[in-house]
Amino acid sequence: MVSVCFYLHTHQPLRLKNFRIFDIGKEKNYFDEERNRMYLERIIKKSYLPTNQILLDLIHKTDGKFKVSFSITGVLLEQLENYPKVLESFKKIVDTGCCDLVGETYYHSLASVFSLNEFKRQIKKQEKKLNEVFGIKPKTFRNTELVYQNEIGKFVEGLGYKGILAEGWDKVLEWRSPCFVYKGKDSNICVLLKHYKLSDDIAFRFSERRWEGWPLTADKFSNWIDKHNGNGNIINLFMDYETFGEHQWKETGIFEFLKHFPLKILEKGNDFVTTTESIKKFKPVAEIDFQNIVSWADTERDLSAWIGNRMQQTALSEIYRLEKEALKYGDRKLIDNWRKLQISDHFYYMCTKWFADGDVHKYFNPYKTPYDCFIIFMNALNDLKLRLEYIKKIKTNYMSKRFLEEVPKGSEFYCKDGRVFRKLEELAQALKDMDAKTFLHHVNEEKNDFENWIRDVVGDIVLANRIKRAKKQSTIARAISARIARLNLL
Amino acid sequence: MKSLKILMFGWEFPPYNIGGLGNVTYNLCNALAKFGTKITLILPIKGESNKLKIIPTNFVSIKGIKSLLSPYLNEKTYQYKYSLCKEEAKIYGTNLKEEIDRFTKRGVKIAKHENFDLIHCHDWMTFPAGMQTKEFSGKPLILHVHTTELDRSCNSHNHFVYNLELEAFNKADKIIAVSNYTKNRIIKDYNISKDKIEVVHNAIEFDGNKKNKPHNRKKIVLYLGRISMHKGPDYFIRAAKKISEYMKDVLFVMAGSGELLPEMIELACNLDIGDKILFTGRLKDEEVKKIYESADLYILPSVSEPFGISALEAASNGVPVIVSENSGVKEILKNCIRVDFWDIEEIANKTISALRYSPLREEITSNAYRELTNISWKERASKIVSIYRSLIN
Repeated sequence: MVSVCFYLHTHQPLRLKNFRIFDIGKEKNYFDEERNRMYLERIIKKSYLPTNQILLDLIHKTDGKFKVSFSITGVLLEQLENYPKVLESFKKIVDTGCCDLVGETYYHSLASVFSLNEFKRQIKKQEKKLNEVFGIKPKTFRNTELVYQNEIGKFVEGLGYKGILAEGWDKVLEWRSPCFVYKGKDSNICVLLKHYKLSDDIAFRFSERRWEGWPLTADKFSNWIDKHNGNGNIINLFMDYETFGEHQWKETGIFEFLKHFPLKILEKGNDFVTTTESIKKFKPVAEIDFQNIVSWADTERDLSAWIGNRMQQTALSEIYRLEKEALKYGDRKLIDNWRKLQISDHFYYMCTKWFADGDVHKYFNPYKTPYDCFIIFMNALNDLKLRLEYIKKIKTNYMSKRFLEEVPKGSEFYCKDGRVFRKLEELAQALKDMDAKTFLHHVNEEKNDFENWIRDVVGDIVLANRIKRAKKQSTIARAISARIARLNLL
Repeated sequence: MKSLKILMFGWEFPPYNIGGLGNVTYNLCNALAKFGTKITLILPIKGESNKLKIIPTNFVSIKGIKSLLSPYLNEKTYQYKYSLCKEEAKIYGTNLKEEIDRFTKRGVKIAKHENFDLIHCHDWMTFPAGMQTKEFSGKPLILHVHTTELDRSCNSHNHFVYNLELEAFNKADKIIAVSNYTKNRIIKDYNISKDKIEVVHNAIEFDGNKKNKPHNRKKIVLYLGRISMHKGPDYFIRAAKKISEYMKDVLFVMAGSGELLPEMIELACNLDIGDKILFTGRLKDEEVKKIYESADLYILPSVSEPFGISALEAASNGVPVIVSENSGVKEILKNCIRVDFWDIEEIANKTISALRYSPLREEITSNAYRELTNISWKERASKIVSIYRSLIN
């Protein structure tokens, strides 16, 4: 008997809108919401809904013998928040207990290559998200593009994962078979190796008429699986979720195939396992040494499609260079933007390795050229840098005793009731007994004179922001008094 | 295989180039000759004597017809030229139409003494000669379209020229368009069947030498081409205005001459960027080379550009290129930045970005080099030879 581990990677990137150099510093959104929604709705209709229905039916029909594993990126889960029906369809499958969720980076990023600290934070964020949405803590892990090497396995093990998915790449495996569970070098993590031939038969070759295996029927495919009986325990079929309905259109018969091949596999006496079950069921047969980074992409199985050219290297090093400051000073929105700029797809769209040879049909690019993508990305990144600098300025000037000092002559606050304030203290005192008319003269729908004075003259941007939207005299008075008390403690 | 004899009607030949067509004709004939094709080229020539002063060639036999005709003439510019010649006035036509008739008559007369298998004409001025030659000889006629009246005129076309093109397109046995862009125009604007049109892109001979750009100096953005309406020089200048508002230390160079030159100088002054733009006038070949070598970016903002060979020249000199979406060259030079010619803000955005982000320029340049090594006149000529053969058999 062989066990089939059927794993689907589910992700939708966020495309950037044409962010021009002139948009820098204008507080514009980086992401093309309209286009992202359009792509998402198309994929929901063409792939997610029909595929989920088939998967759920299969589980019911086989009494839970059919099993499937998903990874769903945080970026996609966020986008699906507006589509409860779709989220529900995923939940229904997870709730059967026949579905395992695999951990990964929330932002589908290459952080594992550039910053292990950030890698960890994004894994944790994804765990939190999976817990919120599905109430599940993943035990197995898949890295973006299946990027794996020994160190990554060790690191992920340290975060509590028992297994990791990797490409069953011949150059690493040599004479070994991908049909067993292995143990990572320098760690005890179980390595599940993608059977790329059988996986790609579905994902890439299913509708390829020149392929000798065409047309791929459920019978034929289950026979190929069955042939491994006796010389392997497990067949890892790893592929993009979008294989069903998007990469392979409905018209190719992919849905019919999906409906039937699991049944045929079961008929022949083989079974299905989830990623977690597979590492419980099979003990590692040997250690496998992934010295260098291996991904599941292209014929090279490397990261050249993401970091192969100078534009990609520049963009990536620039974004990760911001890590320290973005996390130290950034607000939630800025950090979120910074991380969404790490989504690996941005860099993939800057890839020129096929483009240069004039073969532009090999991959889909939402931008006109890789160069357009780079320009847009860099403009957005420069905007982010500018925002970061501004926030940093505010925060590094967060607390200072000098805010309590007297302002220079000529910059005093001239109040409507005739009083003159030379420092914060005097304003705070005056606010306690200021008559309503005077207050409304200075604070109304159009302006807030106190805020402006505190921001521009006193220089306490934090306090100014705090009273920015306050309309009540008592609120403002309290805020200023509290601030003075804090600053006095310094 | 028996060698083919081609009777070709051309516009110009080096070194008397006004546009790119002279060089294209030269390189094309040279490459065709290597396939054993024997070419007789009939050309309008200018100058004091009947003697031809062109680059000596042994691969093509050239017959000159003394004429005032030169590429890109229109009625107005012809009248101006005509007014300049006094003694010779009696031999030339008094207007463009008459002069073309005269060229056609002389050309056909020469053709009657030639032995050939095919007629190959370059652009509209030669079309009447081609059609009449076909009529008396019964040989197949190929029209090589480098530009149409609608490209040149930006929607205010000359009906005489348009109708001439229309008639010729209909009578031709085959049309060679320099790009799919041009092919589609011929299909759409002249209602010609797509099966009659073959696309053969222009090429350049890239020597494989990668040029190193000097660093740390003022950035130079280049426009190089005739300064005529359809090349979009005004968009270049308006973009220059926008760019210099945002980025100092950029020098714009507008190289070339043309009927809009005075207007462009005035526009630059009115926009208050007279000190940021250099107008060089027409440049000699060596000067063109120099200017490419010093440029950081080349912009081709054409309203309508059937091909745009200067973009290939820029790329071969290591200059990254921004080209109009309305151009043919983008079909074979993928490693460039494409813009809509009317979107001045986008041209400015892309230009500033390219000047600011050096990895972008490096990447475009090195990938364009790779692309250029796959482009050659030899390959184009072989395609044309197979078109020749298909018409004879």
